[in-house]
Amino acid sequence: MRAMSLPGKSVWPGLVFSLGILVSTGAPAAPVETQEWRYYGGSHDFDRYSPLDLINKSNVGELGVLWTRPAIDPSITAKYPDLVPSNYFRGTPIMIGGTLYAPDAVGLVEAFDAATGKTRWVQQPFAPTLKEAAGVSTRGVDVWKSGQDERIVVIRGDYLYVLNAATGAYYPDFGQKGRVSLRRITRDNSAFVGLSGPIVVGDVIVVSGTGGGNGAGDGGVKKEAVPEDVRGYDVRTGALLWTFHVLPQGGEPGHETWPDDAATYVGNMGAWAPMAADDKLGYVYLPLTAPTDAYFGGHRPGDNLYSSSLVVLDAKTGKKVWHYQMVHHDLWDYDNASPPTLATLKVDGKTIDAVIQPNKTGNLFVFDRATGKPVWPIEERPVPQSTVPGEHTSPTQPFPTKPPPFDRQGVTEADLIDFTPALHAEAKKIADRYVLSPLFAPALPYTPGGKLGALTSPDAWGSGNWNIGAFDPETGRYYAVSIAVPGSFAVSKPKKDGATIAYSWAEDIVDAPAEGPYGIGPQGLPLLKPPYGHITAYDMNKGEKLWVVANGDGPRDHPALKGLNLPPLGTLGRPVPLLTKSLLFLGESSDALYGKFGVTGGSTFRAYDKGTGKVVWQTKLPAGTTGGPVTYAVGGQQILIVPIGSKAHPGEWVAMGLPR
Amino acid sequence: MRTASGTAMLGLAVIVPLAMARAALPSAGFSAAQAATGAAVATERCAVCHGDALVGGEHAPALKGAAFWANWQGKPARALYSRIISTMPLDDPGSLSPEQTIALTAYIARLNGARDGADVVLPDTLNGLSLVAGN
Repeated sequence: MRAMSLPGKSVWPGLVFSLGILVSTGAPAAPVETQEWRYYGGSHDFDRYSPLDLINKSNVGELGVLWTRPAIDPSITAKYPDLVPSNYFRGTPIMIGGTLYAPDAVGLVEAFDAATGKTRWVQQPFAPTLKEAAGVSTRGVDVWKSGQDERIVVIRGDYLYVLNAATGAYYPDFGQKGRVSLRRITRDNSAFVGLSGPIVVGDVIVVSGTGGGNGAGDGGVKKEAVPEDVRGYDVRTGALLWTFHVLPQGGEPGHETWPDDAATYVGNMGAWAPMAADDKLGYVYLPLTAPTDAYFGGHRPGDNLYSSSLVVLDAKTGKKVWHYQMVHHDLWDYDNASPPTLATLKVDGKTIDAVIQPNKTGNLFVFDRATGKPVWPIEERPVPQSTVPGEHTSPTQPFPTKPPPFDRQGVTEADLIDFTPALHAEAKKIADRYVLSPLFAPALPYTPGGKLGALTSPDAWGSGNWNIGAFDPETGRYYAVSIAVPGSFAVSKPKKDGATIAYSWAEDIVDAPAEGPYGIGPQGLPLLKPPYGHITAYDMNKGEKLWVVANGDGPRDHPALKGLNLPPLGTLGRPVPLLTKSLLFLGESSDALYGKFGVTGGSTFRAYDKGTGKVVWQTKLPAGTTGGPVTYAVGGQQILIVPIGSKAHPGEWVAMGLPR
Repeated sequence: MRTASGTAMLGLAVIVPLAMARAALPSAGFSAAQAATGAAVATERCAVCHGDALVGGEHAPALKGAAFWANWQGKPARALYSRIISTMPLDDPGSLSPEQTIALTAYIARLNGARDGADVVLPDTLNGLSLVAGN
């Protein structure tokens, strides 16, 4: 029973009880007055689930906009007229005690009334200057409470802050005069970037970031960077409590996976996707990512721990509890780009407190979250070997035997579009320029006149990313939201000045097929068969796929498909799912997001029947979704709120509810 | 597929005073020297994401050609200045000075076809200049 399990997951059980969450699967439920959304993944479980059902299949058709709120409070823009934030507005609110807390479009925390959207307070720039006001939006904040002392925790730019939850005031005794510098020594003196926000476990703030210098390590020409270590800070004082080395240093287990001197110069590998935590165990779950460089590893022989691994730490000490590497010696930028989701499963009659970790490859890895023991066997299978001089391909890669992947893996001729024979022939002509390859086929050395690369699926952006995943604790179902885009992997000797790497992503390819909104393909259509953006529902108690539905029309109205009466084919994007007692809410993402994803996307926002995948309601928002929709109840009313924005539309929050 | 490079120029572009934007396009813009200063800043601070010569990269759009004009056509140059100074670079927003940001604005404008003009000293001057793609 979800409501009764909430206090166990919460750091503050007393508070949760006092708010009157009264949901029961047995006796008739009392009216729900208040239901919180305590972390931007719903809870530290990161299941993006709410047990609310005041909005349901029978009345969702009446859902309308209650109020909107600009992505940055007018009191701030009035003071700093040059503050013109990006329309990629990530700020996903949490709701606690009737107040929403969220990073705004420049990453300042805003607290506003959960029922009306009216401002309660706005974090003031640390100094009254444009320099301090400048910033980018982040995905979310976390909260810490001890007695009456309640604090909002946020990462903004180079700094970690805690704010008084009632007033937004800084704590002068936290860090240096109220903030902690997160800057670490990097080769290029790069700033700290952590857009996914912190997570607070017990009295420890866990901080992870994106960089490590030289960008994200996925496209440069240098092998040198700095490992983006994960750090723990005292929530009261800001003191650094521990540092976990994502690249094990000499004497630490795992160091042997970096032969020669690679450990002295390779970097990146940060947990840039959101983290999850088991508050009872005191463990934090870190989805770690690719090392430098993401596409060539001749200078880093070995498996390269803890790149592209799930690492579990005791948040109190920073000591590793267990880990699992999803991609050995990553050559594809196949990050764990998604938040881990903590789920209690019933497998063969046995209850297992599990963690589900999606990977960009489309694989879903499921473990006992306390021990790291796979719930279903994971097999090491032989994979193709690189022909790039000096490369050290791993002989095998891990493949879960269950559940099946949520997206296409690899490309064969059978995958090419066949909407019409003519389009199939065009697709074949394009595909012939490449070597159609299975998953984990390494990059080809590019030579002009030869094949353009190893064409596989997914591409380096991955099928699953930060937006994927919602888990239903009542039914044991997991919903993966992903996109199918193939990608060509090829490397060549870098031409740029200052290169220190033998091979890098081939920037010198000439006469490549034109790319449309779906990548390469005939007449701007995708190269491969649909669905493109889609939802995959799993029964995670059995590790089986239940159904797959396309999300959005995709290219069904393309002139070349006229008269074919195609069903929705799926729109490319990074929309975030929200799961309630009976519905799955999902937008189509936005063209404000990075990369091409969202270019084809619109502003349609849908409610699906979570049991069948059928669309039961849809509406048009003023712009596409740029962050996660969340839901809560206040004063007996269920409200949905979602950040939106597009290239043409400034960011804002849109709150939806039923008419009263 | 990673890059958004290979965008085509829509045509010559110019920077013109706002009041005259709807009339014939007179010669107005930034100095080559100021644009050169901006180019150096771009190489150091922008190219890692936006690519060499700002042709676009894996994580950031092109600031040249069609992709640039899709976002900035008809807007005051001050809007571009404001966006840069308050959000860029992504990993350290607020770290560019007004002088560097004016120079970057000049560089981006000239990259997209703006003609010769005088050095711009004050951000307020940018209020009177409109970003307009030529035909």
